Amino acid sequence: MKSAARGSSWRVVSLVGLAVLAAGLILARSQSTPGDPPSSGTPTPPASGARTDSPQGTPPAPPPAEPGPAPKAPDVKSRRGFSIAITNPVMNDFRYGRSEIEAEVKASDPSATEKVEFYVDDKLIFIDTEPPYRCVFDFGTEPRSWVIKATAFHREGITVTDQIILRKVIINYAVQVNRVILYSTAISSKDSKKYVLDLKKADMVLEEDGVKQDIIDFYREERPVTLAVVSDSSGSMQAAMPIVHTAASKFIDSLGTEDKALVIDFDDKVYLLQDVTANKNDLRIALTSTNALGGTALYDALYASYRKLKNVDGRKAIILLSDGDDTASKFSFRRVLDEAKINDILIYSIGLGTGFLDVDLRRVLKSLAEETGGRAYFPDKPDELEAVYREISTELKSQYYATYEPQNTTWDGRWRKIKLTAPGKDAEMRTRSGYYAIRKPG
Amino acid sequence: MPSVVARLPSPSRQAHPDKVRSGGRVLLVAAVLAGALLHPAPTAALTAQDARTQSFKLQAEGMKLYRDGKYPEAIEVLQKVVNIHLNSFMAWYYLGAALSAERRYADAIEPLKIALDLQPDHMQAHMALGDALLKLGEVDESRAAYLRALDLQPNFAPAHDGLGRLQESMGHDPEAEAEYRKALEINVAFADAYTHLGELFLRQNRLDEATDLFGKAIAMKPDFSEAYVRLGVALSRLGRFDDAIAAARKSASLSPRDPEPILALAKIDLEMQSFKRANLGVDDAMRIDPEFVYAHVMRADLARAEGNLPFAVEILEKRLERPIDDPRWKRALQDRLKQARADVKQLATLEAAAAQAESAQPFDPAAAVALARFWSAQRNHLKAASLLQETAARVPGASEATDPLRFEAGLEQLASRRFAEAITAFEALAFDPASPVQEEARFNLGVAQAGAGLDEDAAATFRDCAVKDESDPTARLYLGNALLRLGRPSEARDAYSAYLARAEKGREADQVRRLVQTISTVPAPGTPAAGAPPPPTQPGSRGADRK
Repeated sequence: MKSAARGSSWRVVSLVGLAVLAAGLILARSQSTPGDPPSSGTPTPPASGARTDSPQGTPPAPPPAEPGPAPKAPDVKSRRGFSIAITNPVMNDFRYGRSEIEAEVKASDPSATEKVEFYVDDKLIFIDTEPPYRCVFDFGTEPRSWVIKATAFHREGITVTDQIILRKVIINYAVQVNRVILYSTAISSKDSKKYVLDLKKADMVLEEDGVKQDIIDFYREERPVTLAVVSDSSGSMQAAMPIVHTAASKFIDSLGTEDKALVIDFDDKVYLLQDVTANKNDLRIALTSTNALGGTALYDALYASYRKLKNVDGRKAIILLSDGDDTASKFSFRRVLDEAKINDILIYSIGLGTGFLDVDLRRVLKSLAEETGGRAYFPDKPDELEAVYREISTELKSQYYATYEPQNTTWDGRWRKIKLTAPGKDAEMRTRSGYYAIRKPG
Repeated sequence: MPSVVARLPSPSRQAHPDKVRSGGRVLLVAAVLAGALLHPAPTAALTAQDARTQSFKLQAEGMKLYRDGKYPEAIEVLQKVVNIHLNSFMAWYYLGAALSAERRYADAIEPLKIALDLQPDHMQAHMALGDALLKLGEVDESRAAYLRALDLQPNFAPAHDGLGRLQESMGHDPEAEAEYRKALEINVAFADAYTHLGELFLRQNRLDEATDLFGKAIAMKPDFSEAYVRLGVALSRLGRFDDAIAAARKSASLSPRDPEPILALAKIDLEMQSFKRANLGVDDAMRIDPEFVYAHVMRADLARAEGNLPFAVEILEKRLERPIDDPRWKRALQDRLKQARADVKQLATLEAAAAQAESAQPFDPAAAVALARFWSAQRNHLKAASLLQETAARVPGASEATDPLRFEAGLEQLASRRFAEAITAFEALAFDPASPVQEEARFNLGVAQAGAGLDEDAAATFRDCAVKDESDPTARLYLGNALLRLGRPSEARDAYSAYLARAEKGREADQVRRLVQTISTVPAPGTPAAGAPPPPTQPGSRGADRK
């Protein structure tokens, strides 16, 4: 056999080489119509076509692969009156630790369902042969997305499949090493405007899921705070704007010299007018420049505030002023509440001019405040705003810092309820409602 | 907390210059130069009105810059936007896309996630996030992103394409191929999927299929730079250097800010032993993106080919000291470094053995030959050829011992495209009836003559080979190639037919059959062939003694 050297017929080939390419192109054109992949309708940059820069040719080429697997029938949720839906968790939820997975199967004859198979990340984890179809899976403590699939089998050979994807959520509150950190406020049970400032560690009882815990630190928090002042400038605020500006300015004046704040203004869009600074003048300029117009993207504004404060160390709080229900947010209340629970940020909410009939707004503002250990205020008139801001300012200077090491050392990602009390003292304690048992590295 | 750095629009855009701190511009420039701050924040307060007007203007500007392919500028502008207009889906999405386009995948994740928080049903954003995560090796998260896109639209071809790339990254080639094919079933005009499937085949050395797929991708999207650059790689591996250069140049003209086509050209230059030109190409690529890993790999390969192995090690070590987002690249670089270090050791051993053999009596060529082959493996064919010639000259005795070395030196000269020298080397052997390598030398003389453009001579040599060995198909194939180049298609057709008669099931048989058909349609004799090319002859094995 001859030994042909590398590249032996370059010139010959190259002479007509482009012709083969042209021939290939003609062939390809005759087979299909040029066009772009389908788009979702929104103007989009070609992001999915990011430049390919795989280490082409760098690793040694593996042997040719076997032909690909035979195509499978597409998964469908419903077929001929037989259907399945995963009911818990729901799409884009997040899970840590041991958690239930439930699926609902509908069939004209319920006994025709042979079994339901549950898969997590394509691994079969459980087969249930009778309703209710459910199983338990340990999602661990590492934040990550999961793909859950449930397939129901009908005795006539029909299969239906539902799939949901859980999102990756990183818990931001301060559980470091084995320690939970709490900020709390003590209010006199006789006078809700009076703060109790002389509590000692020995006065306190702390329970986690009903089990008493040993408090390690308990003292008055005198370190500076970082605030997000989130102000509604939707059209409905127009009349109140001058008073809102004055009240907010006075609030800024009341901050300590080392306290910092940022200013967010929202209508149907959310704008950062001033990033975190201790410069009161800048904060005042930002806060008093707002004009009322547009809808109310309350939840979007809150979400943006979480994002801005997420990487701030130490005590942080959101002061939220709004006069109406959310009308323009892309976020849901549920999502914002979730975020409130996974970010260790106190929320002080002010519902301006909300009557008792504004049930939804009141519920939203109250829930957010209660979950985080903050407080909700509902002044009837703009004139009362100054007093509310004063109260918040006082409260921020009247907080306690507490830490404890949970007796339950299983960091299983589950939600644990916290209850802090001062038995025998004229004090009602307010702190966040609980935490997800995820340990922060470090 | 991120430090406070300026939002400082140009004076024409700035509504209230008096509110900007005097040192802001300096700070901004410093921040941009350092590239350290992803989301610089406003220094001074903005009024609500400023915030609205500025963010609107800047967003439009940033999106335009992105569309114009000016990614670094787009990033700078869009970062300002997201620091003012906190819930602008478009600003976050375009920022993420621009960062991805600049290969700043780790930085792209957060903007894309925020964009998706703001608009969870945006399939392209899911895709962009999946792609960025895949680049970072986060396969679970990447898969979740692609599946979310599929959940929104079950027949979304790009999501299947993404899952194909994901499977490929995990080494699941059959599954990857199935996903790409599914994407193409859904959208037969999906250029990306053709390219990615082609890339998979390229990696599997299915070069003809890969070439075909890249051609299809280009047919679907005539300005598809990525497909051209891949086509260039495939063609260069097929030994079709001129076509490879044309494809890589086309890619470079389509994406002048992309270092990859430039490096593809440099790689071809390296294969063609044009080290200086290859080095200039690497310089150009590094000017565009100094951190682009492939540029450093190429620089190291060049250093090895030029005989400077310690420098190759140094290049790879230095690049590995700095962050590399893509784990596949990191692995590739680590493997290269491991190999380069092993080569340094091997070279020292081989050189010591060769030095020792110098003084031995009688002279033993084995050590020198091993050293020459080492240089050949490093792509330094010229050095290998020179060593082999020197060794052959020193070996005492008959042609039995020296001719195989001279023949091997000729092959090295061929590999380094020194056709004239190769012709001289092979001629001396091909016309010596006593030479043990006469037959091989004659054939490679034809190859060298074809390489030098002496097609008449090459045709005569291959014809001679064919006459001498009635059963040999290869000489007839090469004869056909030479005749086709000479514009003698009917004679070429005869030669190809003779090849087919002897290699009916040969590797190139199908291609040759198509070629014969095409030649049959050529109207006038003497007209340059317009049909498909002769089959690319594969790089031959080295001398018979190396098989």
